[in-house]
Amino acid sequence: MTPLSIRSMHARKRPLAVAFVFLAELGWALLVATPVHAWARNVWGGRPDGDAVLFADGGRELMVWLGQSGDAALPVTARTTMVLLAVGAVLMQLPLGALVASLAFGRIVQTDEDGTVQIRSLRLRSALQVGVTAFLPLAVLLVLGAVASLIVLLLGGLAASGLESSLNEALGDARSFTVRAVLFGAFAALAAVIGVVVDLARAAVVREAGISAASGAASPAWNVMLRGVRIALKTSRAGLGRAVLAWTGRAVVGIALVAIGFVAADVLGGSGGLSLTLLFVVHQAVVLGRVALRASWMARALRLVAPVQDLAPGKY
Amino acid sequence: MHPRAFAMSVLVVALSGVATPIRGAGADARPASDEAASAADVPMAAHPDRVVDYTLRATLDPALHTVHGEGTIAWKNVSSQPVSQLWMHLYLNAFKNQSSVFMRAPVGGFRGTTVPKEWGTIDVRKLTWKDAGTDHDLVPAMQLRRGDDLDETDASIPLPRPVAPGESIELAVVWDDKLPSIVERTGFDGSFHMVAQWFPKLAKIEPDGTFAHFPFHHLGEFYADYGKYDVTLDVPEAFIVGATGSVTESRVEGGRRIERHVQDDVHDFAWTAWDKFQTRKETIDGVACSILYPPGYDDHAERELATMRFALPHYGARYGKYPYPLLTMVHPPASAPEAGGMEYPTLITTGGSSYIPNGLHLIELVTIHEFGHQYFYGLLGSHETQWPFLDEGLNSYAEAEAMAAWKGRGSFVDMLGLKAGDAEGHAERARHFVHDDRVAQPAYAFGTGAAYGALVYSRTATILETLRRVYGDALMQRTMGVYARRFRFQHPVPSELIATFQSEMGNEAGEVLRDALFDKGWIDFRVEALSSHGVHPAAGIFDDKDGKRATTAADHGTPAKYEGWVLVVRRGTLHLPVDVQLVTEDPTTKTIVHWDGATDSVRIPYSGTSPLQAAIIDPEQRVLLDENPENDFAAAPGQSGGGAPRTLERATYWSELLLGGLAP
Repeated sequence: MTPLSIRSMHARKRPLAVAFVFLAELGWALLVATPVHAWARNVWGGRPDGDAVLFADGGRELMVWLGQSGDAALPVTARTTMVLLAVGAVLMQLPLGALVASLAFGRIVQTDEDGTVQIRSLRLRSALQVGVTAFLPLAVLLVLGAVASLIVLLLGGLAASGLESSLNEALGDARSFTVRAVLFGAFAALAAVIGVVVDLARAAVVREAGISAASGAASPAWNVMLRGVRIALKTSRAGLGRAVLAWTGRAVVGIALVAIGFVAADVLGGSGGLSLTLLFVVHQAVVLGRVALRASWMARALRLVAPVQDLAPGKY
Repeated sequence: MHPRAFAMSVLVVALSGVATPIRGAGADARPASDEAASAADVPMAAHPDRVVDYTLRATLDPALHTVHGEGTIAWKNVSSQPVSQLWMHLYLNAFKNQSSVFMRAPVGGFRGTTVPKEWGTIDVRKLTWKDAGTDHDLVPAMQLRRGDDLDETDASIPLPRPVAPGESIELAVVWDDKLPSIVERTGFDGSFHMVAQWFPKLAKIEPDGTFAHFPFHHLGEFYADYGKYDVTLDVPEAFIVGATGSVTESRVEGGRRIERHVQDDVHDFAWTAWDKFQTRKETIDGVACSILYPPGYDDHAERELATMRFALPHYGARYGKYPYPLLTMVHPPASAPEAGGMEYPTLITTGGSSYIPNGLHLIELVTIHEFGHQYFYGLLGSHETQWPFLDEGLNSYAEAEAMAAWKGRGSFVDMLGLKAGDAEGHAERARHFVHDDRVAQPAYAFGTGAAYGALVYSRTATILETLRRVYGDALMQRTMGVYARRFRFQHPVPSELIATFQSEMGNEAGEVLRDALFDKGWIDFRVEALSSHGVHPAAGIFDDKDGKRATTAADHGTPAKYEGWVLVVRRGTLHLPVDVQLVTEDPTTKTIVHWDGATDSVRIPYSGTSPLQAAIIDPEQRVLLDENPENDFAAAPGQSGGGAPRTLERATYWSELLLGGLAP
């Protein structure tokens, strides 16, 4: 395993890694969907048209289903789903780590007589090994990043609400609400920037873990994470604007993809058969596109952190 | 079960190609009743019997939040008995202290549950009756309280002599209001003032000479005689006023804006004043509509006007033309939501926060609901405290019907691929309270505000919507149209509503309405079981008439014919007809059986060319009263149904999005 040059770190060169992450997410999502699916199937699956009635205009059955206040299935399903989602969010750091590893590293398959090395993609096993090494720091980063973002959003909500109240008399409801929305938007942007920095840290962590693994000098997870964070902060000081810009462009495309998914669901509604298959394909294409965007962004993050990381190896 | 115990018609449509619903255009179409005559020909009163006229002058002090009022009340004893004492509502005293009936009611789950930051009062300074040249001061004998009850919203006023039937008297009155911070409907918020239930108001006299008087109950509303209101409002010049009735005089004097509002044929008067109101005006269907709204709410104002562009002609066609020349809509500021969502004659208050997506029809729903009260409260002046379902319930039905006619199946929510109906929302809300309490009872008899809201508003709406879907839109339009026209400018009671349904829609519909309103009537259809089997020629040795003997071998091939049955059970006390769809493996055949629902169960025979796959009760969702739609279907043994692939697909997709985060 060898670190790739900056020029070689591109998601388009690692389609199999992207596909692997997509399949991992799909697999876990199917697991997450199982309780609610089982519940719906148990209640409505006996109809000849199955659960089509839940998607029918008017929404009566949907309201009846979700409004069963005395039905234990709702809280059990909801809690199980939330737990599975939370566990999945953590577990997904493993394929993410493998993806970043495959973006950051390659394997030497041959050295020509003139000294030219032939480098190919990491094998899945090798990428996963790096992912496993980086899993703990990545999981901690996930939790810390989420907590930091939530705190920012909470503070933003409180500040925006307070400002709206204080301006209400002077500006009126509508304008003070606009001020509130703008201020909260600013805090949301700050939360997004935190996310960008955390992603830089993720890239640095995986690269650090890979380099350590390649050198045979395994570092404690805590040290790997701290170094990753320091590298991310150092990178941010030098080029946070570029990083945010790169992330934002992809975020816009990602949100547009989600919108396409909404439109598809709106158009195809609760139809079954071929329409449902088509909707599944569209939705999965949306998810695949978003995974590709994430891979592209992580590759960009690697290209941003690698020079800083390589400048003084071990310093951080 | 005896064959006569049920009336059943089996309709089988065998089509080549795609199966087609036999009733055509969905839940609205009922061929049998589409021929019902319109109610447009039903005569309706042009004016009510005028009982009481108020000529008042009110002066607002927006800094102190007070209103000084004075004027005269002309009242006629329209009963058959002499009246020796009057009753007067002093509603604002509901907010005087925590000992009022209103404030001490232990009900939550509805509006007006907060304690006011500033209390409100109404003090009658002067009340005199000039009779035969003598001014009788009625204040000293006025009784505000009864026994140990500290409530002061229902005052009795002994008279120096009885007022004979048909005799008119005139009272001179002076009073002072201290408006509360807005708790429920009335009060102030900053410089915004919503002035309702604000003047000494005579209780309604009944034909037998008694007064329909009552304290201001937390869940209750109002009841009054019709008359003329001639009210002169005096506010600071910078304030914009909205009020019941047309402006007949308007001038500015000494920094004060003085407006005279006059309206005949109404039973209440409310007004608002705020120095920040924006205004828009538009004539719709011959009615001068104006809207007063906070700065920055132009979009809301447009949505509310758009609602009236639909509602005025729609309600006019169904319940008779709106008889007043104006309608004022007031959108209160977001900091005063309790002032919103209320009805007064020719004036309604709407509401809604700064941003409400277009696909969420809350603004339209509130506007159309409050406008509907111009009929079910204004023109049909029922006793709102005694029979709240007559105004709120009927109006909620009218609201859901109108919203569906305007916005279709997504009349409540139509966004993100979800279409939820207002009527369906009412049905779901009411479903959880069906067995708790009666719908038809006084507002103060409900244990909780949630039960009051669910039963009075939503259950009534669901009962009526079910009757509309079961007996047909045209017949329902006719029935409600007759009721609205026949009792216009009167004070209808429940028996008159039920009698109208019996005469127009039939005794069965009238019974359903009565049972559902008064006896907690309920219904739950359920597919209990179903079965079908192939029919083969009988095997064995058979002798014919000539003594010839023949042996028929058992046929194990695919049968050409199947027979079976579906057992449908009706639980509950209501009897409603319903359709049952028999589903077979042959997609070209659609069998729908109509059952009158008169008995507790029915075994529906099946005969067809393919096995019975499933049965679905009420496939077009006419019986919204059905308590549990989850048991409205069943699959035949060995049939697994369609499963839940859509739920799996959506849940998987959403889980993927959540796992991946909204951004890369």
